[in-house]
Amino acid sequence: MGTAPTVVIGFSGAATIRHADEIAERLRQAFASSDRIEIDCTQVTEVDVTFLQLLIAAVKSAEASGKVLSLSAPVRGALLEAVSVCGVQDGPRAQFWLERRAS
Amino acid sequence: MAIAADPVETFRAEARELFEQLETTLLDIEADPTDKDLIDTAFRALHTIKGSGAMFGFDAASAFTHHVENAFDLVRKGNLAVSRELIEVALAAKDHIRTLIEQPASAVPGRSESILAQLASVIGSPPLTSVAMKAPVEAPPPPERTTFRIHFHLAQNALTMGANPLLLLKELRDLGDCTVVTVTDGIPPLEEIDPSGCYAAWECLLSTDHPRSAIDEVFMFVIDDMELTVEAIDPEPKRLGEILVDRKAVDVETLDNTLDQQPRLGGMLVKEGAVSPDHVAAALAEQKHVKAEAEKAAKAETADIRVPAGRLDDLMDQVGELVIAQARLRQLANSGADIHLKSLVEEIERLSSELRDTTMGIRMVPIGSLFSRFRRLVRDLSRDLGKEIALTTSGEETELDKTVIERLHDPLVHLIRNSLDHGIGTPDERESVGKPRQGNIHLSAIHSGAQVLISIRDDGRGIDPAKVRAKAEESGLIQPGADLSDAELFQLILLPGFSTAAKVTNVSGRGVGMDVVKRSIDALRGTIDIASTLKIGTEMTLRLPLTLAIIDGMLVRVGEGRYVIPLSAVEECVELRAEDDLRATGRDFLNIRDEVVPFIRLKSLFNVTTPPEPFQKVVIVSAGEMRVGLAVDQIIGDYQTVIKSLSKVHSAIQTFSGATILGDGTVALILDIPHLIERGQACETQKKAS
Repeated sequence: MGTAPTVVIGFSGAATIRHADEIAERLRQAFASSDRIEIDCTQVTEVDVTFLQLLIAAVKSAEASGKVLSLSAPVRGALLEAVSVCGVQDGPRAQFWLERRAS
Repeated sequence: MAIAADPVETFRAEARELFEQLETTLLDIEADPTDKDLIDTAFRALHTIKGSGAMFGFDAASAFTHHVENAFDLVRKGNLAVSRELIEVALAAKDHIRTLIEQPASAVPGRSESILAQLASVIGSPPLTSVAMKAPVEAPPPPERTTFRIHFHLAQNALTMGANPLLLLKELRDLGDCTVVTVTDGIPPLEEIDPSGCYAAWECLLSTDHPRSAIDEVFMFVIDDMELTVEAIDPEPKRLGEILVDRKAVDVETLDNTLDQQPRLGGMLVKEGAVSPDHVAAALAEQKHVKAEAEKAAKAETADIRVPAGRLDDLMDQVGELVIAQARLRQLANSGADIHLKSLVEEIERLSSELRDTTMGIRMVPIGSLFSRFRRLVRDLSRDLGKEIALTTSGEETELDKTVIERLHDPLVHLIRNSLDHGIGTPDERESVGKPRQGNIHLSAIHSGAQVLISIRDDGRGIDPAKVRAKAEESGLIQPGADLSDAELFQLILLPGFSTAAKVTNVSGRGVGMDVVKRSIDALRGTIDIASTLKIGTEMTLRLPLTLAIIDGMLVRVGEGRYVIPLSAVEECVELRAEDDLRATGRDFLNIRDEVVPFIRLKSLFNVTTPPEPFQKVVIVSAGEMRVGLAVDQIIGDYQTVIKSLSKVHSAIQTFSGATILGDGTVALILDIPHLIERGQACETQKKAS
């Protein structure tokens, strides 16, 4: 069990293509700094495909490197809408989107 | 338990459906007064109520309905215009007829006359000009319903060019029943991804009455830079392998080779590396979608029959016992070496699990029937409160257990009333903060795994965390200055005796209610999440299990006894180390990654006297934000449990929510997790205080 504390990163407002580079950068930094990462999306008000892709990419990276990645709360609001439009909440990674903090 | 069908009761049940249909139709007419079909529907409903009412001796109701029917006959013939007043009277009349039929004794004397007088004035007052109706078109031939398989993949730079796949998917969903699976194989890991590139591809199944050209129109503006395939598929349910071959995800040879090795095709193919999990998920989704389509088509052909709910409950009970007996049989067969017996047991296992799924399916009803009941509520209440509020809904087709839906009605009414009363302000107030005058309440439902999420979202004032905090401190619910997140603060609203409304109205604000809502949702083994942004709005999300009859449980042993913990509540299992065990005399806390979690020794709670065992485990369970550990002697494993409720004699026992029969025939009690968590947290606060 890693001793490094969980890093929590929060996103707010519009998580869209305009901010995609910045969001990716913050995710990469979080991955570089800890083995346990928690993403807080509760303040996100607008979502597009880029954000979903970045989250899925992050899940893949976490799976590959054995890090623990979770959302601080199950998806809701704009993110929930995007997730359900794409049908990813029923896919193989359903748990990530819908479970409360995994640990 | 033969239920002698009382014809009057049968009539009442049918009338109830007609009333619901009539109410929906009237509200639809109000929204679109020119739709001739709707007016016909309303007329026919009234006509049926009048006719069958007279047949079953409800003469007063029948005579009264006759006048309302006449009014709609005038409208139908174009001699009377639909007006707001007419709808108003018709709704009042509908309520009155309902009283006359369901509780004739409680009908207010003179009410019939006053409504008829109103009706007469509505009919009399406006000039009898002909109404501009939609031209009576010849009914077009019913369009062919086709299922399309749509695959699309945008160019990598499409997003920077302004394409929006979410919008495309939404438009597709608007065309009909659409199942979408995102193929995520193409998405690289975080280190390599170009944040604004487009990597995902989408597989959609659309069953629609629209022609293919409608699909092409959706993609019209992005067609140049994308890979798009649209093909109509055969609506016959297929096997998974056939679908995968059809979709060119795997070739026939690989499939055949893998098939030889049986058992679960999807898992095998993934393991073999022949296809990715996403492709299997997409194919599975297709299988499900097509099956649902086929069922729908079959449903359209066969007539419904009315079955008393009691019989369904009995059936469920018996299927539950069958599943249990089958588990025992398997245990017995596995202990012997009889191959014939084993293959027979496997056959029975398959049949009984299919039977269980079918039986559960019978109990499922779409939530739309519940949603439509709220339209009237929102309409009437917003008028009483002088507000302009629209109710929108989505996911009406989401299915839930019949009993869950019935028990959801009251909590939802309460939450909607709250949104109407506290959430959304008056039109003037809204205008002054730059919002449209009309407020919106959105009710939605979606499936996610074994859960259903129902959310009530308004675009009102939002909840002020500072006010909640002040109120909570004032009433002693939290210590002044306690470190709580907004989400935790909002959870306080659900506690008994909490209301931030300064003024008590007849709609809400008495502080009784939210705790009742919480209790009824707890009883359904659901949870409530509250999210709110000040000035933007509030969203309450209810998470509910699909059914109450069967749960996935974790079987544990305490002393000699076995108990079931609902798996949905389990967060993790840890070992109770000897030093924690010793240190913890009297103060039972565990340190889980720097968080202090109280735990309950089930052994002492149940007064089990067997000697302590060396390797105790602690199962961490949660409800909402609260966590508690339960110390047990052994974790036996997963166990699918058919819940049997406890008898009346035992209903006062709080620690258990039910019981189940295990494979070997013994009884295991099911732990009531919300209750145990309350208990554990109470210990914690007690100890903190001392």
